[in-house]
Amino acid sequence: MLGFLIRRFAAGLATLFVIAVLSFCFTRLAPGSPFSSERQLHPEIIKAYEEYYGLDKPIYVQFWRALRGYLHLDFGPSTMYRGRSVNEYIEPGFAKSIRLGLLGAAFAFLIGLPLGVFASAHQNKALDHAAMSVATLGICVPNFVLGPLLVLLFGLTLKWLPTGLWPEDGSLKELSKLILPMITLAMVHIAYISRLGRAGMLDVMNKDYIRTARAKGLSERTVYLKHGLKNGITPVVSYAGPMVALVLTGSIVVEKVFAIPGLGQHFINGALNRDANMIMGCVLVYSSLVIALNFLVDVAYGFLDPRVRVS
Amino acid sequence: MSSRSSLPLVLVLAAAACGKPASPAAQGAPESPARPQASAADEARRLLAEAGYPDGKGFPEFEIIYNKAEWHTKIAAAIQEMWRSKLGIKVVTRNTEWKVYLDLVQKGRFDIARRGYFGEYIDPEAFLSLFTADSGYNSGGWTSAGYDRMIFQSDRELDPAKRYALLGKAERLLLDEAPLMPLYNYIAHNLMKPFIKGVYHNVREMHPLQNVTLEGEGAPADGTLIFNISEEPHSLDPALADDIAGLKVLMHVFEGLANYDPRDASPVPAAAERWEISPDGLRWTFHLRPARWSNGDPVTAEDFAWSWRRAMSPKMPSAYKERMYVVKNARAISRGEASLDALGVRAVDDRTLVVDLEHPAPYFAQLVCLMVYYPVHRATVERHGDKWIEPDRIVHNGPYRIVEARRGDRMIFEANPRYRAADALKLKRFIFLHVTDERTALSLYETGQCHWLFRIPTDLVDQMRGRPDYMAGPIHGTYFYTFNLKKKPLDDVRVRRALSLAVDRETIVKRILRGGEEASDRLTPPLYPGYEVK
Amino acid sequence: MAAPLELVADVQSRSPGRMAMRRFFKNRRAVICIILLAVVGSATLVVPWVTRHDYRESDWEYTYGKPNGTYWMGTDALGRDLMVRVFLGGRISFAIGFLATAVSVIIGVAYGATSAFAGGRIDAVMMRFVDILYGMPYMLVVIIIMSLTESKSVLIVFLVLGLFGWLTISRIVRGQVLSLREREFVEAAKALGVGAPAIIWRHMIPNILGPVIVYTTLAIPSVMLAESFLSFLGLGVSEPETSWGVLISEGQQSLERWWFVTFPGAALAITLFCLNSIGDGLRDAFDVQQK
Repeated sequence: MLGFLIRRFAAGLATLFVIAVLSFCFTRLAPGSPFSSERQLHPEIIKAYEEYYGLDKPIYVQFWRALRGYLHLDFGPSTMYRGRSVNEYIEPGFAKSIRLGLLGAAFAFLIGLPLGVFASAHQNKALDHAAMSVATLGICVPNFVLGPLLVLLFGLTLKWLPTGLWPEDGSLKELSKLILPMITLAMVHIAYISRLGRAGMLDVMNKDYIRTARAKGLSERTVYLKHGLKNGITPVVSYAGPMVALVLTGSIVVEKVFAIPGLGQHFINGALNRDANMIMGCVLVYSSLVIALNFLVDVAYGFLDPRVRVS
Repeated sequence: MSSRSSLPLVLVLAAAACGKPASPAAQGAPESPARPQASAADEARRLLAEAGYPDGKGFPEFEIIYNKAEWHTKIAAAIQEMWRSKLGIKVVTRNTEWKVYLDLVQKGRFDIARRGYFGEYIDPEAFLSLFTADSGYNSGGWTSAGYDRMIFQSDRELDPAKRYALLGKAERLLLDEAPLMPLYNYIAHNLMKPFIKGVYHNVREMHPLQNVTLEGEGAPADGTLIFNISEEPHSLDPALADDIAGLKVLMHVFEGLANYDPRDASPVPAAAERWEISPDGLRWTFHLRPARWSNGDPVTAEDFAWSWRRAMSPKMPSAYKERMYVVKNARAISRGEASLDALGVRAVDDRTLVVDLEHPAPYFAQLVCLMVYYPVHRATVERHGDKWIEPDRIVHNGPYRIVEARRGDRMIFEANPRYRAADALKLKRFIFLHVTDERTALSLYETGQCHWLFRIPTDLVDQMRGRPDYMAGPIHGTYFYTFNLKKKPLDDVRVRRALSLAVDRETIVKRILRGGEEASDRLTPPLYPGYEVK
Repeated sequence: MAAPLELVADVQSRSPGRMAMRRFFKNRRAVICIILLAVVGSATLVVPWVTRHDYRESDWEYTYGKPNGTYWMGTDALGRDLMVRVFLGGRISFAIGFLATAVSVIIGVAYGATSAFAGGRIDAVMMRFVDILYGMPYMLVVIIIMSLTESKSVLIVFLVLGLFGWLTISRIVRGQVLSLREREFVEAAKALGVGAPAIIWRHMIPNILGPVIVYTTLAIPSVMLAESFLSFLGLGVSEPETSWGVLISEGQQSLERWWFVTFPGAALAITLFCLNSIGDGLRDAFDVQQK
């Protein structure tokens, strides 16, 4: 088991390294310089910039320096925000994004799972179709349309909810700023989760042990909730890992629409302003998270299913 | 001019800004927008045929590049359609990211490019210097020795009237050669809650908040004004800051020799109480007011001189350095060809600063309003290096201090009790938000989470124009297209004029923008009394 | 030799497919969706062809126009007829959706099958590569490539989307092939001395087809959605050409003019809804295991 874990962990690190190399190349290949402005700068000013950021050094030296920084979780100086480090942006940004992401994921489970189970209990009846249609709608509206629509409806027209910014404190009034971003973020995952939940339940309910339970004369309700649910939602649970990562990256749009200074905002601003260190920092944080989640899923499976360890 | 009647506010503000009713179009310009469009289109077709492309036959397929923004797309698509339907010419449009766009434009890798410019000092020279041969802006390959000579001479001309005449002649030459195609002059669109008093539209869109008061219905109980400056400044170090957001922040935290008058953005004494200019226009003597840094040290003339030298040091990476190149030897120092001491600035005594210029510059008082000319506190900078600007370390001389700077979110300002005129500050606290999305910002404004926007989604401007909380007026900027003369047949002046003539500016302004913008057929905005293009 | 093989193939490949189709056509939601999709699809072909308006032509007297007798879906900021633009945009959105998915399915099937057949170290390396790409925030790559390319033609958009969409399918195919390899009927065929190409052709492909079809129907809508996201970032198709993504992201900028976003939005939503429902129906019918 330990060997399996070590192998998986090493593979994760290797993946991260390759991602770092690839992203580094991409940031250097991208057209446009972080220092271009409306006027072509005088060469002496460009030289000053390049010296200041060490961009006059050979590329492998730059990469080596960057890599050394990453080992100490130091992503280097931002070229967009002069005199600031990328960490100053990524750390608070990540804290916000992950909180919003977890909130969105929790909400997606809370709504999606019951919806799926409910639909499976009424397979191929009108209620099933209705529930699944509602769920599928979530995949059909791009979240950059859904967000503004929710703002228009609940913020500007009904004036029920605030339309953006990060909460100032823990008061209920401030926290309500997160409701609309949370719904926008969760919508697409509600759709996926309910579909997975429905399919998982249908799968399980045809299994022999369920028939046995029924044959024992247990009530349909008990069979469904006690025996069915426990195993039926396994596909949903295994979706949880990748979903948290998806929710995080999905927050790029949501953060823009709701003016939340999260990681996604910094990533997009970094990409648009050719802030290589900012891009690298965001990519590595995102990737580490995805890899870590995959690792956890692997470990969980490893415990559950001994055969995986061998393969 | 007929459009004016629908826009009384703009007219009044424009008049206030210029001191006379604004006159948009240069008289006698051949492609005046007032001319009936049919004949302009005929003339365009005639010119194009003369150049060898009757009905656009054989004309190569060019590309218009522009950076991603809603209204750029619309204008490019409109021009594309006008050229297609009037000249039979096919062009493609290409939407690129800002940095890619800049890269392509600067390296001259374009056919036809959307451009736009905001002059940083109210003078035709701010625009006309863009098209000299050595300008970093002029990448379309157009050069004219005669033009460069006129601009050079105007820099040495001390008589304002003669100077304007020279510049006017230069602009005529530029427009006749048509390396660019002016479209319209920018308008500033603000939404401002009615309880904000003491803010005036001005052509630089610079609004020092010292004298702003919040009173009347809906005024926030805590007296905090919330203004969305749309982005986070790139830097808070005056020597490194290179964007408008930086200027908006830093003019409240530091105090330069002069500052913008809130009413008309003209330079008014600030850290300096007065200044004199030598008869040859080359030497400016500034007399400082007594003032203190936020740590209690006195602000001296040497503080200014040291800060300017610091800003010009070859190691200092800042795009805004160029704004100081008018000071004697600044460029040579920045290039490392002269020592820092050679800079044309020196402290005669604690309260007197003498500045020598490379050439007379009547607009120098406007330049010293920019952040690169602000003083910084030497001991603090030397102790903390890059990090001296953090809220807990910064030492500054301006009316406000930054209490908190939340990355990508907001900055919170409070009155600086050590400011030389602290008692006169009417506004005690304000917040600058960094919300980039205009839609989002508008929602925040409509729900009261923000009190003032200086950008509105272009689609909605016409719906906002009737509202009492809408404030607008002309600003010192022009929207135009440039041609790349290295691409045949754009090197033919007849082709360039034909393309320009076929664009119906009134349609763009009235049907697409619909925000009260003035169609323009010249590069400089119509904001200089006594300046004419002829 | 031929007879038993035919028998095996007959039992294993054809009847499950036929039964699946029968199950599928019993699913009323899926069938309605097929009809609806056909209506939208043929409208994108027919409407621009029969309409009087050119998609590039501006009516400068009627910019930002509400729907009326002349312009049934109103006009855009340049006074161009929205109806013809919506349906022409639909053509491009469909094209991007189908072609990009085709690109990713072809790459994914080839990659996954190769990996599974090669096995051993090659398999491990190939799958590790897929893992690496999975860990990479894919939109970043798309954004960078989209800004790297010199032109923004439709071709580039679907190639880029297609080139990064094959990861999931390669995993599915590899998994299927691996499990099929161990199954009795393949063992039996091998024992009978059937060659590898024949096994692939007669047994593998028919059995992989189900999951691939299901995946494809579900991939198309997600590609179309990705296209709209790219358009939102300003990296989509360029003027005067348009797509649903472009129209929607423009419309989203002015929700007050309801017709800007409603028509293209509804068209996209209906299409995505139908494709998803059909995909679900196919999945139920083919009884494909959930990932």
